[in-house]
Amino acid sequence: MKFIGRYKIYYFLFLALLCSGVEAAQAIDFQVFDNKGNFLENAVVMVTSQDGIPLGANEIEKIVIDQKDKEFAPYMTALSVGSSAVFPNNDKIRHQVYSFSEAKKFEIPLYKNAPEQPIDFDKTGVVALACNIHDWMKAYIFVSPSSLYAITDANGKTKIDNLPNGKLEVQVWHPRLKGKPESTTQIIMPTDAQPISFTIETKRVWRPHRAPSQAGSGGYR
Amino acid sequence: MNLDSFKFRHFRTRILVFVLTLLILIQNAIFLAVNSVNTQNAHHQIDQALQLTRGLFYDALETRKRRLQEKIRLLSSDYAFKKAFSSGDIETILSVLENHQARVSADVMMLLTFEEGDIIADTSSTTTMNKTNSKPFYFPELLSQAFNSEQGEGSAIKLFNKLPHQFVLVPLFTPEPNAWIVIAYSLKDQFTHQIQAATQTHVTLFDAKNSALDLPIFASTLPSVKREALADQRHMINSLTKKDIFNQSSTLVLDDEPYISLVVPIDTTKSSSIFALLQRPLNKALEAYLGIRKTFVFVFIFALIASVIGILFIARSVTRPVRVLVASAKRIEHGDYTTPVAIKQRDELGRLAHSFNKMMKGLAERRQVRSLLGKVVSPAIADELLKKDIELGGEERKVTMLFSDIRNFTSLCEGRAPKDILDFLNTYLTSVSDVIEKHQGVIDKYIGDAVMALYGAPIQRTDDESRAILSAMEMCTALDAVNIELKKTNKPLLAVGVGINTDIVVAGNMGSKARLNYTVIGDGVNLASRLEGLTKQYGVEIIVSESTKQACPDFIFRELDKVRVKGKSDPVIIFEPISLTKNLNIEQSDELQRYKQALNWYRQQQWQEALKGFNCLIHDFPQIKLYKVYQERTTQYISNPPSEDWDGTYTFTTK
Repeated sequence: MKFIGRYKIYYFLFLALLCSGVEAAQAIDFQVFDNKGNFLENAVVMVTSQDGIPLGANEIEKIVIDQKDKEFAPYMTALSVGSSAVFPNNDKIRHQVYSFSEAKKFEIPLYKNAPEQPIDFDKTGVVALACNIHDWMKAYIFVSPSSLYAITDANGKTKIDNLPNGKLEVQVWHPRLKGKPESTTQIIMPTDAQPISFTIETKRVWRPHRAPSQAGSGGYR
Repeated sequence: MNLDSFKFRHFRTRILVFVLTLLILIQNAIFLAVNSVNTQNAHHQIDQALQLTRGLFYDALETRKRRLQEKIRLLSSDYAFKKAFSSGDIETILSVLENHQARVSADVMMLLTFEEGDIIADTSSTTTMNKTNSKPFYFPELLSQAFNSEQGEGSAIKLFNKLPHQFVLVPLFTPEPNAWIVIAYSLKDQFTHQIQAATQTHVTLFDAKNSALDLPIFASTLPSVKREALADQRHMINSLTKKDIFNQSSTLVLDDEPYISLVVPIDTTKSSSIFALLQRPLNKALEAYLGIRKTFVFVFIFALIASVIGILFIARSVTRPVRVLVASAKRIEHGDYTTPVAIKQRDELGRLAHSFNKMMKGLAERRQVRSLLGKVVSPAIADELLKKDIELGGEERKVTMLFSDIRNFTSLCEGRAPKDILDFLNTYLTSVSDVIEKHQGVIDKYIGDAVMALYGAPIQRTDDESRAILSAMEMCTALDAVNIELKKTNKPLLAVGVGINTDIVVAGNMGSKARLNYTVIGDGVNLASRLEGLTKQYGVEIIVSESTKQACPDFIFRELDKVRVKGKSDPVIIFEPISLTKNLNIEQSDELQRYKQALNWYRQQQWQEALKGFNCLIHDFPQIKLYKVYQERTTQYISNPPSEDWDGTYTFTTK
């Protein structure tokens, strides 16, 4: 539970950062549920135009995905295509970060401390991150074509500001999503100012066991 | 059925049959009980062992499965493999699989697409896969099992290339599950031997799909002969696989050897047609008992032989003395009292033999006494004496007494040696006794030449009086033979006098307690003696009293006289028996008639007529003394008549 608490802090910091330099336009609340009616945390909600054309200024970011206590933090990251990420290692041991995802295949051989060269994400799609030597370490980077996206909180809720007028297309993605994000597509009118809810079909996800450590914090993440 | 055939003539046979039957029955009962308990126990032990083996069998399968999973997980997390997979080069992927297969000594490895479950690479296939010739995985149920499981893993035992294979299937994480890795191990003899090594139980894996027709055996620890014998039992095995409960063991006979067998499905959900046959030989479990059984049979035979010998010995110790006793008893039956039984045993039979000898001695003495008694007393009296306790005293009964005497015996004795007299007397008494005994008279005693005989004591008969008279008549003729001898030597002839009287007397044992006689006492006895004494007075051989005469209607009597004998006040009428009525001739009858007439005249005191009558009779029968006696009396009375009150009685003043 202490990891989740930590995400929230990062998450709110991140939201505040997003809001500060953007002209306020319409904002819409979203809530995502799984098919059992549970709140779905860490779902990425992405808004494009009705035709699927990305919206918003393509903000190039340089984000940090930490490795601490043999976990990635944050677990879920969304960024605009063209952004980059660094993977500092805060553990005393080495990690080997890799991805075989189509969106970005890369490998940072065993390293310690100092962040390596940032990895550029110039292709949209989901990048599943893992550590070669710790099977349970897992994180996702959602490389978004559009700048309008957000990640749901523990209540499955999130909010996207600065939405332009007119019909918009909204898609949701989650690691447990069964099928492709296109299947979740909803057309919305930001003027409705109604909270939009998604119920998505989830699939079973098998997670490798976390190896028992000296701290004794084994088990599932 | 003839029941006699069940009766044993010999004591030995009887005891032998009884003890042996009992022994065999008991031994059999024990044997059956022990056998049953041991066999049951063996069954029970085997059953338990089989249940244990079953658990171990499933454990072994589970362990193998887990090992497989571990091995495959290593590959699924292998970074190099992930790299190879992400390269998309199928030949490389196959090569990696083959490499890994060699590492872990698996039999088959495969890689499947994640979504569709199509085979990307298969180490058991000779053709190389590509996207166009991909085919679906052989066991889609395994895929769905994995999809629905917690860990995304699936396992099952499946027939693959005609052999049971243990399949395990896990997802390949890159890190998202992107493919399935399949690994399989075939279950061969190595597996069954491994279980046998741990459990000492034979394990056979077979396909039950068509077990009624054919029994394909995949692996077995049974020797090849037994393995072949299994095929003959396929119907039985087939029925065992159809059972709902697999807990029950059955006995299968393979090549004449019984095996307790348990059929267990290799897959507890029974979705597979592969079964395992767990077997333990019954004889091995019974081994210890079979050894004991041999000893038991030996002990049984020994007990049997010992019993037979013992019984024969004991029976001999009983039957031999018994046979000796029987032989001795037979000898006694035939009158041999001299040979005692020689049995030295100290048991009951010894005591019996001792008693037997004593009894024999007693019998011999008794017989001796008896024979002596018969000589001393009449056989009838001897019987009477032996019949009951001898005690003094008697009973009143009607007895006919006979007294006989040799007349002129005194003169006979003159000038003779006493021994000669005794010899003569013995000859005479023997013949007289014979006559009396012939007529069932009882000799009471001999008094010198006199004989006293009884008729009616101790045994009463209806014709006692007649027999007494017949005896007397015969006794008179018995002397004839003696007289012929005497006549030759010019000696005086012997004549016998017999007196017979019938009266109520006391018959019984008389004398002292130590020494007694069976005899009769009474007035009647004296009268009989007196009558005997009277015979010479009247010159007749036999005189009977009136009481005797009245009991003998078959005889003709002549009334001799009315006398008052010495010592008696009442007069008695005395008679002479002449002959049996039927034998009387006319001359006799006429003579008796004339005598009766003369006697009447005499009684009526018509002396002259009487005298005339008697003289006439004397004239005709000069040898009859009786007529002379009356002639003398009549002559006397004529000169000296009797008193007024004379009733015809003649009084004797001498004996």
